[in-house]
Amino acid sequence: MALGAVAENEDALDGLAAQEPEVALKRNFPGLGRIADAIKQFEDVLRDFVTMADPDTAKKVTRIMSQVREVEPSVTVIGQIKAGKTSLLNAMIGAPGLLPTDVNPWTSVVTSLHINTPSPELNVKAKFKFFDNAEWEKLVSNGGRIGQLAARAGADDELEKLRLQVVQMREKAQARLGRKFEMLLGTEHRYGTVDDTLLRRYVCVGDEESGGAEQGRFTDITKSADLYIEREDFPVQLCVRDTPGVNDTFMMREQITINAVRDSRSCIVVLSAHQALTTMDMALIRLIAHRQSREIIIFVNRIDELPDPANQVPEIHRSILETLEKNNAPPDIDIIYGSAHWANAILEGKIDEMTDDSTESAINWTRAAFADKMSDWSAEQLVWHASGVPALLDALGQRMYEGPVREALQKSSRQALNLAQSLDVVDQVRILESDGQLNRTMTPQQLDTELRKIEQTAVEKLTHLTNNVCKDFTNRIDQSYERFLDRATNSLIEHLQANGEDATWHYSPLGLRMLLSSSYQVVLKKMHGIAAEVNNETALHIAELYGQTFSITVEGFRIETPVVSYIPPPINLGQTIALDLQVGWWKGWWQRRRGYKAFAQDFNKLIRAETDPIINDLKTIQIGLFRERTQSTLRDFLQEQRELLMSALASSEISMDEMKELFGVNAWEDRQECLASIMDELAIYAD
Amino acid sequence: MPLTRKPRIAIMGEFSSGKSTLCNVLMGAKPLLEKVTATQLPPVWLSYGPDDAYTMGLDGHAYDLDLAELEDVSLETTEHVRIFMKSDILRYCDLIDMPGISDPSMSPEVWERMAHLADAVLWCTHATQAWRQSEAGVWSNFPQEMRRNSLLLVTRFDKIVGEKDQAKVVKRVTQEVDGLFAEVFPVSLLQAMKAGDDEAKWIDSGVDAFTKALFDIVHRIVDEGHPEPGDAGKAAIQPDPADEAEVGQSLIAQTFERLMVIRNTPVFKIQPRRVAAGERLLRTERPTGETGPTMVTFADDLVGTGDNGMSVGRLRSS
Repeated sequence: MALGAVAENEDALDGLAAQEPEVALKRNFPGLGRIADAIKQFEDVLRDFVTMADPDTAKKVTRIMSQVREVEPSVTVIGQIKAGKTSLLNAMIGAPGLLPTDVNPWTSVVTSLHINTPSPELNVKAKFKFFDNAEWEKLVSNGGRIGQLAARAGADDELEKLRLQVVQMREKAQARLGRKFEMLLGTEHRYGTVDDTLLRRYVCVGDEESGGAEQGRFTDITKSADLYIEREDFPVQLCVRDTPGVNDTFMMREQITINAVRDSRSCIVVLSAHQALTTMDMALIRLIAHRQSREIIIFVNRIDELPDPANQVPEIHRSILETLEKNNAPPDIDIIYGSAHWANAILEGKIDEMTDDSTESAINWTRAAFADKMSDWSAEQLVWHASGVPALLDALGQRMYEGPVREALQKSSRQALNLAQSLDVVDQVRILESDGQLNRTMTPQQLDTELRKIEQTAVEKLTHLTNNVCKDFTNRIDQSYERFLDRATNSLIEHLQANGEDATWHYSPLGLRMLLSSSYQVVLKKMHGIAAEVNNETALHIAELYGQTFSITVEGFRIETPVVSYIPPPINLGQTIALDLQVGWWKGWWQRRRGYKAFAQDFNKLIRAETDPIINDLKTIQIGLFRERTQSTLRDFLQEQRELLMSALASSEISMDEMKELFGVNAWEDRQECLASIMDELAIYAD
Repeated sequence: MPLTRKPRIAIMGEFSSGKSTLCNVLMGAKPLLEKVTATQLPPVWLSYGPDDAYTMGLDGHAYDLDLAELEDVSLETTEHVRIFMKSDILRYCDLIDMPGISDPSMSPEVWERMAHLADAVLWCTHATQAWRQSEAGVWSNFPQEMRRNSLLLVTRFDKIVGEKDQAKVVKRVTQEVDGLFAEVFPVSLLQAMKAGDDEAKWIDSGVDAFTKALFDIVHRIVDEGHPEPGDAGKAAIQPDPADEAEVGQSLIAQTFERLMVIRNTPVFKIQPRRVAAGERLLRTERPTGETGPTMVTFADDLVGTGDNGMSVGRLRSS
């Protein structure tokens, strides 16, 4: 890169502040634009369908259409405190300053930002949910999960600290909300508008001195915030979740974040560039490692604070890759480098207000990363791209397109296709009937009986197969678990015999984790197999029933099988167990034990107490979720097919002549063609 | 009884929190390795002496080390690296540069087995993410006696822009570590490295205030000491005499020299006598034994005032 070009760009940096920020932003939603296009195209097909369908069918198609419109892909932003999650989120949605930020840890509530999604309640744009009594009690009585963990590990200092934090939290809530603040628990506050002061009351830590009494007033008891924001320049509906950072000395908030991770399919893990990938970040990645690696994006923020990003970023990249590999993280996680600070500066038109260091870093990085664009792009464009935000949006859009959006389109198109198929069958019936070839063999009562048979068989088979798989899974997990405990306890005893009690013993829970994880993957695969098997079989039975009902065979006729909707992965599997806490608590535990027997027994008890919830979560919640999803998918499918078949039988009573009278002879032929082309188009989305 | 060996000051913190930069600032010269990504070195123990280095293996044997091959030192077989240098700071104390905590590719054992050697800790925490639970957790395992001799350095403080934000960060961190450290110092170590002879920049970087506190701590440790086997009858440790070549090369060295001279200068503390109402205090009246001048320390020899042109008078006035 010639020096001249750089100098030019430095000049350009100065003059650019006044440009419309939205221009840059709009230009750079490629991934999200793709989602919008796909949904729009699909809607066009459905709209065509509506225009040619009878009123009853049209109503059903419209229902499918609104189902597509409700698709709201979501992403959760997680990371350590002060990694820049909130700033990044503001930059991503092109609204700097929307969610309040501070130099000290500030976000303390899980905040879901719904962009362009209609609020479920009329005129409610902001909803703040408080903890309910049980949740609050759990938090304040023993410091929640972390408290239990500390208590079991005998980490008295930490426990004492937690206890103090709880007392403080309670006192603060009392001071801010009055003595009867507990009355608020379990309730919600709703507002018709969203503004900064409002947010500061509910989602910020607050600072009594500088922020006034209102700041952070409800924060301690607020569990979640839902904000509904309309943005014309934003091409899709989207939900972005901001979370309090983990590794805060105020440990209470950590569990809130951990629970929020489950709600979104995609996760952005935000790291700070000055510190590659810490044990804490690894713990976070482990927590979400059970989803597909495509659903995790690492964003290395704050490269603006590196003096020489051109050389440091590749170094950081190497180190992150190495660490991920060494720690058995899922492969192929995308890693994007950037700076929310730069992005917000562009969005606010304030790049000339950046510090010299920051500007120098930006120039240094653009020169390295966008060398080929230096002469074509404006300084604004260069810095915007250097911020990594466009790349992040692109990657995110791609994930959402491949994941939830495609799945939603698939599900809806299959429903629409089945609708079209049944219309087609009815049409064929009419043609045959008008030719005098039709032999109607079934009455509605008989059809009902046949349908009942199919329904019963399908549900019974699904339940039976699921039960078997669950039983296998439970046994397998129990065995792995016992084996792990045995092995670990034996190894502990060996260690004690060889080294005595003074040397601290380490035993990694990685083995148990891998066993549980692989068992879960196996059961997941089996369950999907079962669902597919039962659904396919049922679809065949129904297709046959069509044939029986009308004594015809329509060429290429088949029933599309339903899609089992996404099952969120188990979160507990990655959760810290006492063994992970090598440094602090574990050591304390160790030093307090005396005698081999005490060691082995206590260890067994400790690990059991730690892992039992994880195992139970897998066995009950996770499997229950699967059971519920597969069964409801099947039930919905059966219901839908029942309606279609019954109405096909009913509408086939209307004769061809009547139809021709209704539509006109030519229009009838058009209808046939239309239907065929709609079915072709829908088929594209169905696979 | 006072300490008969030099105090050992450990430099600790999360990886990439500026520990090695701090080490380099303190050393004034000859930088050690420094990288953004975690430096994979066992603890490095720095002591005063003619240039020499060895690695202490976990097998208990010392092996010669060529400093050019420092990066190749094995974490698996080495307990620590010992380096001798003629750096001014090392005349007063030993430094132990510890590997960073929270590094997923380094077992805490690597520094844990050296932790007992430290008399005090300089803990580095990165200003933009200052004082996290992972740090608090590790620090809580250190002996409580160390807290009053240890300092918390909030590094890269220049990355917090604006006085208001700077004050906010300092306030929060100070509140959080109340009782855990003797003092909190916001510092910009890179700025200090670049300061050279520029005293204004040096002071501005926050390092000046911190080094003064460090001096006090080093000598408090010496003065309070604690008996170790075989110490009986030995004299208190004194700083190594300066080699002419090094004296006063860095601002930190000058600060230490200056403070040392003050320490070794007899100081009479006059405690003002309460004057009761109506009582006239005669100029000729002499303080009694109880309120009289207190001899704090006598110096037999003044160290480091030889050839560098510094006089006690100048030192005291500045």
